[in-house]
Amino acid sequence: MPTTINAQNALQIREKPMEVYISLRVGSTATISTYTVTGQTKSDDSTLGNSAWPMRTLADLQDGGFLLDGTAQWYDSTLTPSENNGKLGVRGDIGETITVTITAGSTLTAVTVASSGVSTITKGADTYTATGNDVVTINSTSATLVFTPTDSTTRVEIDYIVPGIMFNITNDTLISCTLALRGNLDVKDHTWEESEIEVKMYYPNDISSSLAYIQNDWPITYQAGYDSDLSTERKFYISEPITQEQGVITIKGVDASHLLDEKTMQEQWFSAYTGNAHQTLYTKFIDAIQAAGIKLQRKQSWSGSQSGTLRYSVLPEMSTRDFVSDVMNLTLNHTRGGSNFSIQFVDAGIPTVEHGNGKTYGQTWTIYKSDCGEWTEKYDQNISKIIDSNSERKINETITTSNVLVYDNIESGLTGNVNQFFEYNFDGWYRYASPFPASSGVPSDTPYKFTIISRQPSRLVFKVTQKGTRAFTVGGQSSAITGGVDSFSNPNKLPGINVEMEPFVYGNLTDGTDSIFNYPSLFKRSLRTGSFTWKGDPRMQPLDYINISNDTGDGRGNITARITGIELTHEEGGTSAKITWREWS
Amino acid sequence: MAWITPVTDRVQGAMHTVTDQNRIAQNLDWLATELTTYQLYTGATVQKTTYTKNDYITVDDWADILSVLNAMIEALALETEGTADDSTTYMNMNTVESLTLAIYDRLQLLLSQANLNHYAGDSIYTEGPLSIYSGGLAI
Repeated sequence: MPTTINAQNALQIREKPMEVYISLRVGSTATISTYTVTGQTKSDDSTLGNSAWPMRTLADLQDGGFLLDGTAQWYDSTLTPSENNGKLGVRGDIGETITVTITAGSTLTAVTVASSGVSTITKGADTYTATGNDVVTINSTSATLVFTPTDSTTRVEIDYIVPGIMFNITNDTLISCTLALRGNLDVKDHTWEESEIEVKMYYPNDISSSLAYIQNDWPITYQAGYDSDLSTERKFYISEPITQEQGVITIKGVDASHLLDEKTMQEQWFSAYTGNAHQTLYTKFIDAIQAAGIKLQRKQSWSGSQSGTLRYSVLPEMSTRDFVSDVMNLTLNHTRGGSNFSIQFVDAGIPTVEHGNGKTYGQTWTIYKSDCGEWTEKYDQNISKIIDSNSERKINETITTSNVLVYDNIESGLTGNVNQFFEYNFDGWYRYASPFPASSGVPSDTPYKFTIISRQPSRLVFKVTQKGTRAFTVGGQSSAITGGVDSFSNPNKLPGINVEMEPFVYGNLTDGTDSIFNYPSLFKRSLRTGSFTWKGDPRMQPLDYINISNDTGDGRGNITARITGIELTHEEGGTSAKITWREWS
Repeated sequence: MAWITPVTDRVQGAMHTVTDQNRIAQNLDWLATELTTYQLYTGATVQKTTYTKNDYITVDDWADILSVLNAMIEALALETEGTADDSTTYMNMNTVESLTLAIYDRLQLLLSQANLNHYAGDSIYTEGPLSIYSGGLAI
């Protein structure tokens, strides 16, 4: 039986259900200081607090013995526990209960217990049905847990007892897992949305009171496939309270891109040389994503050196999500001199940035239309004109400012006391705006000293840290803005709708003579979109390419497209997906 | 303890039970005792011959079993196919029990030779297999 995703996907119907591995790790500030083990123990190497080291598979004669596949080890009490050697944990005599008392320096809300050969775990009056990976509500600084074996020929084996909640969800307990992995190639509504995961699992014990302590942003990881061929691990973060109703625990999470909403980019100067403006924008793009708190898992390098002429723009205040969405929309499909300057960010649990044609990390998939169901296809309305929707700025203006640092007086003759704040909101923009102490040439004079609180193109806030003997001045390098257009028309001159769009920046940056905020390239975006259902593949990412084959063998009717959305569902042992796409040429 | 027929036909997926472990240990111990009786072996017997379901097989237990097994093979100058090792595979268990069986067969052969009432020069020896002449028992 083939055990790779490709081989199974090549079959009309998969012979083997995909394995799904989901884990939830919720840490705890409390630490367990002591573990006291009582009962008839067969071995105890004092490693109950270590969840990282694997349990050794011993040549153990309990119950039906051990499997002769070479994985069992002869028991060796002298082998030091370690990540490589594994550990013994606590193992009892067969049929005997084992009791573990834990104590902590502060209140433990819950602990996670990994064990085998256990029927129940009892804590006071509470009895939990053991599943192998169990959460026990503690709400105290100490607790005594009693582990009862499943029968008289089985021994209790306890791998670890650690603070917090750790779920390892597999097909055994999974009811369903749905991932909504999102991209966006729409010209008009191009806001990049976060991807989501929803996991439903069966858990026999009521741990809803422990789940209530779980806060947002704890990580959930997801992998699927076959044990010899698993997809890259995706990482999501809890986004809503975890619920448990009638034994069904529901966990919802979002990808790291949710952080894009939480970070506002302040108004700022953004300058770049005409020789490497695209590369400068790419660097800015990465910086903005990372400043939002997203740890990029894959990042394509793009080396460049300053050359040409310095151009200026001012980024207005905006959310990082708007910045990222606008950069992607305005650079996708932008080619010059045979090179592709697309800049793209894809998260969906694997935060990735790349430039070029999106194939450095993205893949191309071949899908036969005959394998698809629920096929839909439509055309967006043609865009005949893009119109500036902002009355304050035009598209592709020019900001003129001297390349030589020249300070213009904004205000002079100023005095102030220590800790006195000064705030300026300029009419227009200044570069390097700053307070300047007067220079008298008299050595006995005390100069003013300042701390800059905020320096933006149209705003300066500072406070006095040392009062001087002579008045000070506020100055900066002024700039002027000229040119720009109110609209761009579709070069094909076909009828269609007008799309209002706010200019991304004040001013313009060019690579050579081409604007890197390339509004004309938006007309290259295909109007053809569609969706279909398919057997699904956990490796697929938004913006991956798909070659949809019409099965005629002559290429007629084939479509090359990019994925704009994947709704991947694992349920009842099956895996399926609904994929949305936009034609790409 | 009595001789128990070894199991030598395990296949993938086989388990190793307490019955298997006791049979291996007890058969080797029985052979060591028998060979010692007939002055064919002067080595040690198996230290642990009774396992329960509550036992692990320790690294020392298995080393002792291999030691006794190999010492008897050497004492009888058996030419064997394969060598037992310390892996926990079904093939290795088959090897251990096959070698045990080979020792047993040699012992039986030697015992049957000792019971022969013919002597050198009788015509029966001229056609017998060479192994019959390789040793004799002082009974």
